[in-house]
Amino acid sequence: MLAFGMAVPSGGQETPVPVAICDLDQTSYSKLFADLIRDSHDFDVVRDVSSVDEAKELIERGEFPAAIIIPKGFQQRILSPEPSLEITLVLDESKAMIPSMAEAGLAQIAGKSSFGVKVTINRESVTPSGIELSGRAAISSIVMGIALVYSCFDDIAGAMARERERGTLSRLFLTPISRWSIFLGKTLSSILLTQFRTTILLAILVFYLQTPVIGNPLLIYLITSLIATTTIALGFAISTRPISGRSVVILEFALMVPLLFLTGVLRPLEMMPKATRWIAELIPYTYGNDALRRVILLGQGFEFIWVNLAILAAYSMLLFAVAAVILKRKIM
Amino acid sequence: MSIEAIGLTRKFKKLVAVDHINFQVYSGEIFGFLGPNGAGKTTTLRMLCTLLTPTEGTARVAGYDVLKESAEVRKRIGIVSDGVELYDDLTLRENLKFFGRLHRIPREKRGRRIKELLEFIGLIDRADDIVATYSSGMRKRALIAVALINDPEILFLDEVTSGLDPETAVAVRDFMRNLCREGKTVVWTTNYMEEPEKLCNRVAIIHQGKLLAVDTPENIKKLAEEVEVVEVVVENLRGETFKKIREVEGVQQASLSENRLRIVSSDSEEVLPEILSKIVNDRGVVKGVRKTRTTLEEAFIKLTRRGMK
Ligand SMILES: Nc1ncnc2c1ncn2[C@@H]1O[C@H](COP(=O)(O)OP(=O)(O)OP(=O)(O)O)[C@@H](O)[C@H]1O
Ligand SMILES: [Mg+2]
Repeated sequence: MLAFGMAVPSGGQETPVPVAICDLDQTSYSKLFADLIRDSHDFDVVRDVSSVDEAKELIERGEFPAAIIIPKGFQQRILSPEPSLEITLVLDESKAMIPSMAEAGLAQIAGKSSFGVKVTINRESVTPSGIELSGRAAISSIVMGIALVYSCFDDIAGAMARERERGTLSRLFLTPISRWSIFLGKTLSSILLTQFRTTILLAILVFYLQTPVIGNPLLIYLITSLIATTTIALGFAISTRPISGRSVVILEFALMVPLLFLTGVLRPLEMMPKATRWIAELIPYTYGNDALRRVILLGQGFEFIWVNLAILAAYSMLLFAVAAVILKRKIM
Repeated sequence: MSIEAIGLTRKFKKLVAVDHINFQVYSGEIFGFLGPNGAGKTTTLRMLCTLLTPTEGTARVAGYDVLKESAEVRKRIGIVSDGVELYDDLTLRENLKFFGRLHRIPREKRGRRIKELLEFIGLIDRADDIVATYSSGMRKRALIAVALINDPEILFLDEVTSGLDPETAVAVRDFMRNLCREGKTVVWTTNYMEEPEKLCNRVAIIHQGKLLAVDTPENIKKLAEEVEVVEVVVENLRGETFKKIREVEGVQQASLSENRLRIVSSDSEEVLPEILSKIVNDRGVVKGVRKTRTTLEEAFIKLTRRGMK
């Protein structure tokens, strides 16, 4: 409930979009325009950059999601006999809501400042496919991330609860097979299933959602396997308590809230209030979704996502350790 | 010796379900656990089967410690108990195969064993139906078959005859006797008092987690022999009269089956005149009076009453 309250935006007060400014014109008009951006409530200027390439590189690394480029000849065009205002917006189109918000904010500032001259906003993307993605990108992450988390959670927590309720778990425990082998078996089968699920989900992305999947497929399988491992560990940690199948269903519903609102899928971390963002950064799936987005939509390689993968691995180990400690102390 | 419990204790929060019990079960014995609902029979069995860790104490089962060598114990036991079920969406044969494999029974031996078991429990023509379609008696028999898949040295049966038709119940009892002849040990619990009397070599009376007595059914009855049992054959006895009789001072237990009224008291000569006059006053007809022996059930009630004091 707490998470829910913080995740859902509270009325009109929107978080400003973090941007960088690149003033290539360096004239009094361009400086004036830059100041208008700085004063605007729609933007939070995090730094100044000196070239478009630098802006693109930093966006790709995730330092900020957008940059406003004031092109050379900005003042000249305004002062010409047929005055016009031209501005370039460099964006990470794979992020939800940011491209449209940045463009709307910029149009507002340009409109206010130019007294009716023709305004042109050029949109440039860092996504290699170049096309406008935002709506679909969000859906791809939801489809991929949530589908995997749900199925793996059910593989473990759901299956354990059902086996416990049906009394087959104690029958399994009565064989000479160790508990660890039983858990290992469930883990391996879930990870194997994850490979099939990833394949099917990729097919859905490509053929149904028409998402341009440009990253290395092996890397995608690696990420989904790590998301699966984290979820399996979470499932075991939860299954150490004798919860009923019904509680598992309730938990699955409860899981939906942070998955949708706190893992940067519908609302990127940059656009969250501070406290919410802090919570989002504690959720391992935030890093999984981010890695998926980077590889699938930006085509980035291992060097961009290894930290995300390491965090997922660390969470898996932590949760497995928790489950092991609890299980060691009691049998059922 | 096939089972030895040493100070075996299990607490659920504050409730002491099993309270420092010590007992031994010898190989080839049919050992009965007798106790009222909630006495701690199932909890004891689950600890012996390594399904539940004791809070204190331990037990050796088939020569191995349930805490330290639980896998060795599990290789040598079978259990039929509520809460230990089969995969409903598999057939009985598939269940037997699956658990046979988990018990690492070699394929050839497994096939033979499955055939034997299916014949023994009389489900050979239903073996390829999924378990969900079984009647409750068939399911019980299926559970017995799966419990026997690893040819256990010790078989734990928790209220196994409840829900069986008389014929199958008799078959199960015969089967238990046969197992014992083969040198196997059977530990079982029941609420039906007549069963252990006929079947068990020794009986443990458990009440509120404590063992009140462990002995042969005969000796347990002797323990309670300071009471006298009188049987009155009576016709036309009304329910109200029966109630009054139960309330007569000195009557410890009164039960009625058919037209036989059984009265347990410490001194029958003292209570009998009053009882008889009550019957006659309410227009009952006394056909005969005789002294009889205590049954295990009466001994059991007496012992558990004493245990409560
Ligand atoms: N998992 C549990 N959690 C809490 N209390 C329990 C649990 N299992 C058993 N108990 C309690 O322990 C006591 C003994 O229960 P147990 O099932 O051993 O009785 P029982 O002798 O088998 O009774 P019955 O004849 O009704 O089967 C009961 O009071 C029961 O409520
Ligand atoms: Mg019981």
